[in-house]
Amino acid sequence: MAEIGYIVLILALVSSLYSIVALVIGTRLNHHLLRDSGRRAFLAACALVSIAAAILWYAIFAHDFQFAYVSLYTRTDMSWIYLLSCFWAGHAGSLLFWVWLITVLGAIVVIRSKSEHVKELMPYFSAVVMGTVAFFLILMVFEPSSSPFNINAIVPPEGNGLNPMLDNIGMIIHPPPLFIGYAGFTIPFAFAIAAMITKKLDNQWVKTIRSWTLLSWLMLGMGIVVGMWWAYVELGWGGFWAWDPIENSSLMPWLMGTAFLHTIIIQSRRGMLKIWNIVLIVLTFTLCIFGTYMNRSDLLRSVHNYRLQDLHWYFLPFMAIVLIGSFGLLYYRRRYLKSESQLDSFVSKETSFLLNNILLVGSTLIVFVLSLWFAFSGWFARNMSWLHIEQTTVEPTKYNQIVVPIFLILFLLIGICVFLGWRKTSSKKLIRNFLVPAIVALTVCVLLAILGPREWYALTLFPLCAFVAATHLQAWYREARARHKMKGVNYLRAIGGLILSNRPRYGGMLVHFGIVLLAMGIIGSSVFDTKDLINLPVGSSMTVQGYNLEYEGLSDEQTPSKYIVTATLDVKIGGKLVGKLTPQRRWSTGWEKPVTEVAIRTTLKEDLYIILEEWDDESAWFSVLVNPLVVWMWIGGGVILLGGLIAYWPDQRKQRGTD
Amino acid sequence: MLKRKKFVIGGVVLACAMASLLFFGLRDTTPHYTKIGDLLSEGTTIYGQKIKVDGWIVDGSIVNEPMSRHYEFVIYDEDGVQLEIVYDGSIPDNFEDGKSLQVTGEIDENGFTATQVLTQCASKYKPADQE
Repeated sequence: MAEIGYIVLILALVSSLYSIVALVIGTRLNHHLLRDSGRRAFLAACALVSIAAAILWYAIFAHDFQFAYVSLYTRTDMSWIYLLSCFWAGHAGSLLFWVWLITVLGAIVVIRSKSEHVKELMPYFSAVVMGTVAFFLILMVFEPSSSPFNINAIVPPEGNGLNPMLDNIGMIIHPPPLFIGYAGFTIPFAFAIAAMITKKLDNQWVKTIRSWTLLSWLMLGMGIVVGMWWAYVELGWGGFWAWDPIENSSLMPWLMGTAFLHTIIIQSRRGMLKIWNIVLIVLTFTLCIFGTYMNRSDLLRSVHNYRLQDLHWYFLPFMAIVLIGSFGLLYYRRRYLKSESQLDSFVSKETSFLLNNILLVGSTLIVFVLSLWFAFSGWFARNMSWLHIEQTTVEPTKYNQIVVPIFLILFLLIGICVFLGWRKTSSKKLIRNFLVPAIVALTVCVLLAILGPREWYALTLFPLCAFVAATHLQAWYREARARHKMKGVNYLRAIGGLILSNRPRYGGMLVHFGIVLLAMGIIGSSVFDTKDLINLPVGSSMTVQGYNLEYEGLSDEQTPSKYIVTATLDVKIGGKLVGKLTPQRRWSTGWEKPVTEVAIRTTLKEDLYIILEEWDDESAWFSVLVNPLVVWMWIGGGVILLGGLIAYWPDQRKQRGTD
Repeated sequence: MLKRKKFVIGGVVLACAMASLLFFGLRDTTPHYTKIGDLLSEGTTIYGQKIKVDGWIVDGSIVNEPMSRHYEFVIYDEDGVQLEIVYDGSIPDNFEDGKSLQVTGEIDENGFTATQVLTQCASKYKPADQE
């Protein structure tokens, strides 16, 4: 079976390479037969990759331990849902998952292409998609560490099983959106290259890719937020973001993609920033590939790194081809990319988008340099010793110092942009619009000063959140009121009608509002968190941050797959019992080391987060963390998803008209 | 044209501001040693400074009185050079003999005192031969 999988990968590779040649030459020479065979080879390659994926999934569910990958990550006693997730649990499988998603998305585009404009782009679009697919296939076929179809010389009776730390719902809901995001950015990238080759560089291609860009961006963002949630509830360090390269590798394409998502609006509206948009999508795509390279090669010494030594020889040439090819092409096509209009005024939506771009691209570059600083500084230390740079690593606090100020300006910009119009906005009108939000922000500031917390960052950051939230609510209220007056419908229907009337605008506003909530959670939990390590004898109690914790004792139980030790704590506030918390340690069958299960009591105000550290017969050590406002991050994530979906949802009426 | 110039100047100023944030931020990052020998050869110059060092736990070297939250262990690097570490606090779930570690802390005449101990992550992308 595994040999068949390997052969299917080789066939898919041959098919994809043939497809590139046939599509390009067939289109150049206007040879229809050749071009059509290229199109069929494209679909064949997609089908073959799907077959390879089906073989791996089948092997996982059939417990075929002849597959080294299956024996490494699964056991016979795993539930089907975790078996499903084992597909992407390892390096090789996740590569197959990624390339499979690219073929699925690519095939959808090719099959659905109906309009004349899109059809003209299709041959080169398909060739670029196939080029990316071929890269992944070459990696899986020629690099033994990256093949999901390696064979066990001796077939083991039982597999290793998924690491117990990954035995969490996060394993099912975190990687798929992330990989859909990574794979999805291939689509706008391929369209950009195709538009450049065919010289169809009017603003049509930008409109065509809007929904694909939005989908990829949204999925990548959701993958990141779910990853934060997973780290928070499972890993038991009480945080959700550590600026580890593995996190930065998904943040970088997301930030760059965010910049792209904004400037394509300017291009489709005003015909500006055409060259810039191509630069952005090329970089976003490259960063998706680069992130994987950074985390799985031995470039860095992060504790999450895979440290595979031979990946350089695959990733570096591919990224070089992408960058040199794209920018070379851009240079030759530069005269087709002249701007159609000019910036009219400083106070306009265009300016705010430009500013947002400089900040987003700047912060991406900064995160890039900081993530790689270990490699850069090591190189300087070895090769340019006269610079007196030693090999160093950038700590998370350092990232915060450097990146957070930029994010705060971006955040302020979100608040300001609501009232900015295209072309020109009168400053007077603008100032009038900001009156109410400014009063709200001041009120929050005064209230905080009276009621606490009184730290300077609380007195500035929370009013900033209030300001941004107020601008959005005010804009929404005004527009709903206008509709209410004009159409005579009640407010609820007015708001609904408003959203339907201009989904991109209101979806976008909802996303921005979600970011306010997210920011509130991030600020609250990273600035005001407390951590105490306490020792509690059985039956005794202690008050931590207003919570009275009484340690009732330990219990243990043996389930078919786990041995579980549970500590029970009564949580009282002001003498009133508000709940029981049960932090645990679990030993999974076949794994020597236990896994920590934290216990969390969530309220809108704060999370009480308890870890069972160590125990004996008389007492136990607990880490007690109080993390304010954490739940707002997850609510914010949900609002962003909702807003993104509203903006994404295809407009039936419009689509029939234009596409 | 004047307007365009203003936009360019504005952009350059912003870019410079971000570059200086980066430049000044990078001035005091944490020295990171992949070889214990390099760390030891620095001598007293790095005493009291926050540093990072990579290594593997020497088999059988972990000394820990249960419930004390106090750990002493020895790590070694690829050249076999060893370093004793003292640590008070919570250890990661998979802290055990032979494990690849990244230790943050400071060194002085009494030895290396760790403030943070990270184990090579139980990552989903980890190949079997490193287990």
